[in-house]
Amino acid sequence: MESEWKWSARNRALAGLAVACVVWMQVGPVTEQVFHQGVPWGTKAWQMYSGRGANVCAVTWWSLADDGSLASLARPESEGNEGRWQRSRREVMDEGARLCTVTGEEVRADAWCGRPRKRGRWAQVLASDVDLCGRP
Amino acid sequence: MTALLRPTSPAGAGLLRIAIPLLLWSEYGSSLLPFRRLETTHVTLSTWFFVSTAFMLLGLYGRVATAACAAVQLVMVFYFGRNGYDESWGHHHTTLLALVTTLLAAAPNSATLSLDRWFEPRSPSRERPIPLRLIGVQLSTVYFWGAFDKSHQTFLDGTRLTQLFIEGWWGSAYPFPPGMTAVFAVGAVGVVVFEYLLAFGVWVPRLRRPLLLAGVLMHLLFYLTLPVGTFSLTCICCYLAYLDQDEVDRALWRFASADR
Repeated sequence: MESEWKWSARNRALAGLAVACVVWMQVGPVTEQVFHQGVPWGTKAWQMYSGRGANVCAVTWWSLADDGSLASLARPESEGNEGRWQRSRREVMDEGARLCTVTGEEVRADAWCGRPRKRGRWAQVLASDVDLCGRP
Repeated sequence: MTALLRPTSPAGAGLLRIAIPLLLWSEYGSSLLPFRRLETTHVTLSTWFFVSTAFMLLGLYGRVATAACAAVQLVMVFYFGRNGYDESWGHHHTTLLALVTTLLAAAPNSATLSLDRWFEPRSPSRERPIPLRLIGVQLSTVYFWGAFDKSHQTFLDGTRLTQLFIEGWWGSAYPFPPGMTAVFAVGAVGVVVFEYLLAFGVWVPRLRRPLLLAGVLMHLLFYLTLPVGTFSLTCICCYLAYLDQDEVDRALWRFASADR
């Protein structure tokens, strides 16, 4: 009989408190994720990893041959430790200029970068027709 | 409803009371050492944190220690974590730890596996596990809203997973084997569907064990592949809150005693 729940005043208060806790847990997510009104104090929206890495670029590096064909530049990150991640067109171009110097090749790149304001959607920021070695 | 709230053993609360301080030391231990910042605020928080977590772990004045530990975390997360003192304190894994500790303070967490029980060896009272059920609801809330937040095209087509792995593993010039986009898309849909399933399915007795087992595997995979900090282990520990506490008690004794 100990498992029987009786609606005594104490148990009603307990149930009310528990329901209030459950409602409070939903306040942050609802205000931020549904109504986009920010997160009230004492709550959390539970948006895990929603912005992390959303601005990284995916870059394919090429070297331009004399006949105008493009050959994949293998493991450009091994040519120095800097610039392993690029996060903008500017950073891709800077890294391209560095690779030109290091490899002696005419380096080109196809680059797509994530747009944080569009939840990380890719946008092409650089195509392989741009000469990265000729930059001043 | 009755089955969920019938009075049960305090075993799960006792185990969580031991696990939470260990997670907290892993999360804050280094940054809260008193000599990190020679300021009154920092030294006060440090003292408060280490004394309360030590008492909590030992189960000495366990409920008071847990309440004190919850209080210091709430101050750190919702005040210092948001006013620029240390923004990492306001992260989701620290928030989850603070909320779980707060709910745990309302449970009979030192009625077993504690010095309190050692000094007062009477049979622990059986209480309704409302705080533990609320910890379960909190974790289900995290799963549901985490899945809701990921329910958009850029996540479901695998783009966001690709970006996370570029940032965490490969760098921008990533080696992209054929079919990888499809693998990430399938993985992304799988994660979202599984999080929705976990949010509700763990409350269905028949689904609970397989889902929790799969959840443990998922969290271990995240722990090993992404910089999730203590979040994965906190979630796994909180799975105790979903379980039948009498079964937890029996399992504990099976571990502890060869005779039973």
